[in-house]
Amino acid sequence: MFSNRFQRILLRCLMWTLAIIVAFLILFPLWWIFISSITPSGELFSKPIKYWPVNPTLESYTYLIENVGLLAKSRDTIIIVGLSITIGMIVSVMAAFSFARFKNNGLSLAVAFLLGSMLIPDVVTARPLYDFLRQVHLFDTYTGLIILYISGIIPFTILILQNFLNDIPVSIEESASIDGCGFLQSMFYVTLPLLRPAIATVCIVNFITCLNNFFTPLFYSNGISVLSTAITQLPLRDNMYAVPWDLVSAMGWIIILPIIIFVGIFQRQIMEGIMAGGVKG
Amino acid sequence: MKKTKTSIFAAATALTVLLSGCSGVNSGSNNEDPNSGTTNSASGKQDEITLYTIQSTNPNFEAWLNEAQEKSGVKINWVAAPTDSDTRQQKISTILSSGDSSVDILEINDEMATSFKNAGWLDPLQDSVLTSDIVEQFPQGYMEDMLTSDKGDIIGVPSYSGYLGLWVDQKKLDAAGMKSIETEEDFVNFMKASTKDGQYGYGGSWEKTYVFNEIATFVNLFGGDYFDWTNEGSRKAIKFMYDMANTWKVTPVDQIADKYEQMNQKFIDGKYAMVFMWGTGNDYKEANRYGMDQIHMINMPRFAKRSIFTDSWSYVLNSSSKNKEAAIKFLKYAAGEEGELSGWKNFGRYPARADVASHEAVSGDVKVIYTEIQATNEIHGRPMLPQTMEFISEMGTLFQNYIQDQMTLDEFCTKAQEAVEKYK
Repeated sequence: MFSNRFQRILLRCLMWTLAIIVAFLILFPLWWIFISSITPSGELFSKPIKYWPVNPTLESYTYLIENVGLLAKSRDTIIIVGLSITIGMIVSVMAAFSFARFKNNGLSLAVAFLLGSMLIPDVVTARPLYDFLRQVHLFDTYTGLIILYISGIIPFTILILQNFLNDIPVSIEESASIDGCGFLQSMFYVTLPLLRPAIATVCIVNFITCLNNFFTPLFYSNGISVLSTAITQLPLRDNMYAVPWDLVSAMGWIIILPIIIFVGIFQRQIMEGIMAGGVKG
Repeated sequence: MKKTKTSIFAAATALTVLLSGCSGVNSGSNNEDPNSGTTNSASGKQDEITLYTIQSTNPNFEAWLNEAQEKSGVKINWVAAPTDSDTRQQKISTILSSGDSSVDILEINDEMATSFKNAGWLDPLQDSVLTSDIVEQFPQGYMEDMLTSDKGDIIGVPSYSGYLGLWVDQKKLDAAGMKSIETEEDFVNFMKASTKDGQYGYGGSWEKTYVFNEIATFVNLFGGDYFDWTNEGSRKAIKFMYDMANTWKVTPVDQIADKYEQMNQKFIDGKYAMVFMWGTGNDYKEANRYGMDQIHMINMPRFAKRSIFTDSWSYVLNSSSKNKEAAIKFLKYAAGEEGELSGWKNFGRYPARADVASHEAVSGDVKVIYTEIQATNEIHGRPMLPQTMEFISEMGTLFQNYIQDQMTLDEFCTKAQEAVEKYK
């Protein structure tokens, strides 16, 4: 009896110790970035190390708002991410429905190609795509970037939605058909409502993916600038070799804060959705 | 049902509004339809260029831009270049190599100038902008080392001059009973006198990609050749650095992890008596440690000779530009007195042209020491090869191995020469 209780306590202690260690490993860098962002540049590397600045300041944040065009970048980010998710979701739902409900070799091959495209690193297609976008006048345009963002999220979205759809019995749609629903009516009024949790989950995951996308806006645009790439446009200091770590840290926080808030609010939906839509053996 | 239809209608309306707001507005440039500017009198077309710049996030950029537009007579659209070096080099390489004509003028640093000057992506400027009377005002060593191609074409207009100068802590110099550091002997004596109580006579940033600057500086001071490791001066320089760390112990070996940020902080904190550093001392000013009685720049000491490196950002003309006439107008402005002075006034960057640097508008401590350096030193661009970062990194690794007694001086020189041949 004592032994069992002791084991339970030990197990609980072990669990909490591990949780604290993991939390520390994750949270300490964030804490460090935060205090670096409110430390004056002249005190950043002072010794002994200070875990709270002597003269905390919000100068870095003010500088970024005034000189780096944060508001404009936020606007561009919302436009690109918002449209990419909306259009990408419409296309993906239709594609996933087709792939789940109609079976033939051609469609199977299409699914294989789509999923296979996830395995190609961005850098492999970068230069040909750069030349192509310039030729069709889509380089450095919202349209070009949105197309690229959509192409980036479609394979994952289809994969998740198709697995969800496979779990929805076809008999529901057949019943609707007997009751007089046409194909589109059955899809919109019967299947889509059942798919709503999956759509919500994928939207959340896609939002985070798009917000984090660094390579696409960096490589395929010059003038349009989103939040994720803003960290590459911080001013050089007195000499071009010293990194402005105070500004880098402030920018880092500005970039990750929306994601932290978003994940904090929707973490249950994200986990549930991914678990439910995950590939089954 | 009605609710669903209303939602769909609202979503469609929102999408339409969003799409209609998508044209021509962006946050990393000012590439809007021009609504002001000057016109080319011959063709009636507007003189207009696009500048790829690293300065767009500088608080005084707008003032600089307005002045440049007014004085050059060219409407300048700008695109913000990444200030992160790797990203920037990748982007600019892509723009130039792909024949992208959306950018006319680019600001490039020494590393990029070395990589691009023989690639044929940049237009020569000696006939149109950098005529002999202008070129002779720029540091000759720098122009030859950095901005002149193998064919003899000059491909860039330096926007400023920044020396890798010797900065000393005056209090430590006074404590050592010295008035200045004029010779190699003074340099060594000062290092030895200032090394005590956990403080060192010399501080370096010997991280493998940073130490290149100091190795090359000592090679120059000893009259060596960074590309020739059989040269006695080059060998002396590297042995001198070894002795500083291991024989005299006047500089710490653990600085092989330090970049400029760490080195500067230690210098500010009083751990070092002198360092080699770029710029005009803003870090020291921000820490209230700048001044003739505190940290300040002094002239380079004479070892075998007095020699110093300068760096710059240069304006270059994209060969694929479709606005070359306007671009040359801008470059003439940038290479002229007004352009150089505007860089000093708005960005605090010391004019690269000697005649402009002597202008009364340029003043302060920095002018005094820069003028002395210009008059007494050989001024060079740093020794770089086309695969700049790979070469720098390999040399840095070899140096760190040597400093940590993992190879002998002869082995270092042999391998350094092999690296030179490999990347040349």
